[in-house]
Amino acid sequence: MKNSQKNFFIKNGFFKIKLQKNKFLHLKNKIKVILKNELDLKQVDLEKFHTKIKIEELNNLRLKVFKKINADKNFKKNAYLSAKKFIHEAVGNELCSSDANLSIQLPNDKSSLLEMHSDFFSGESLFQINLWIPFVNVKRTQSMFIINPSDSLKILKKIKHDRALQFNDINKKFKSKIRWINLKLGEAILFSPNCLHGNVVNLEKKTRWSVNIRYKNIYSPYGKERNEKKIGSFYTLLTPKAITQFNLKYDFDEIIN
Amino acid sequence: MTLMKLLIKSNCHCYIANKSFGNYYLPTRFQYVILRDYFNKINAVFNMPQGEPIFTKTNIRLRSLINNLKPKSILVLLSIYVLPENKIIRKEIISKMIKKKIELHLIFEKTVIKSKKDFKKINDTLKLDRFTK
Repeated sequence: MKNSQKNFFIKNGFFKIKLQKNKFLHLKNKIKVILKNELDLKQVDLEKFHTKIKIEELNNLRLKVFKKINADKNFKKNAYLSAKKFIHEAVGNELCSSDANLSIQLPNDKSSLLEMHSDFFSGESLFQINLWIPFVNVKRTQSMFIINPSDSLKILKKIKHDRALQFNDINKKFKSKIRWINLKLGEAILFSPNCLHGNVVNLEKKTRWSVNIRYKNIYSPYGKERNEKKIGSFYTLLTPKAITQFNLKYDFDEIIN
Repeated sequence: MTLMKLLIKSNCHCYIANKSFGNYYLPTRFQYVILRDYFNKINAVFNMPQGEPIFTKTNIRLRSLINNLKPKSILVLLSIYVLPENKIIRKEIISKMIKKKIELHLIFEKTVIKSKKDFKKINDTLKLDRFTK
């Protein structure tokens, strides 16, 4: 990660990366193979997938694919390896990670919206980075949006205190602050999910397929809420280093506690 | 088949709590499981709900959701205790639901609230709960 990339990230809350090509292709092919098997298709064109499925059937399919990619030993491994050096630069190299979440956005589908939010709305850590990988070229409403950290904070303060404010008002008032992430196939972003982000109805003509995975340093702070957004339930160990493995094996911690 | 399609409810919405509610705390993924199961039972299309930001007491997500609901929609909550603790906000929300003729389903309480009279029972139940603490 160059200094210019780091500065861009601090100012804008995200930075674009090029994924390792072979790892990215493995991820994309895995999804296509699952779809071929599930729907008994000979060919899968992810961008034209809206011609193969009805909106009412989408969530069930999404859940099936979600389960399969997360049960696959190599999917999350390859996602990590596809962006490893950038993830390390962002949050360190002793990591835990979340499930791989899958989004499918058919054109004009109002049922798959992820309204403007920060991931800490649900008590997740402030110290995680989110790897967002689209499996098609994405632009404008087919993609996701993000609001930079300064503007996000202004909006979040209003969300915290203003009893009359609604998300519709925010969407209208801060529309100009929204930045669409335009990416070509094989590109991805790493972003701080503390920044407000989300999607709207896909008004483009193509379907969007994407996964997102949170990465966090094992020892950075978790959310303060007493909830499940902790290691073991929400995050799983990814790259524990020798001293962590050593202390997991021997109970020295029980002597001092 | 066409009749089946007609019977599928597409005007059902739900909402989740990101922290404890009443005597319960349920991880969000299990809230989804219960809600999805309930939606299947009432033959409704399930859309993933979003929860209330943990750091605010203004119930912005629920207020925004109810504001966007079409009249005569169905709103499904896991429990009566997911409703706002703040009496003023709760009153505003309930008034809006009555005005829009929203049907409120409370899964844990096995209750469907349709009328103004039923909505009044919400405050009574929450008040009774406070008496017993």
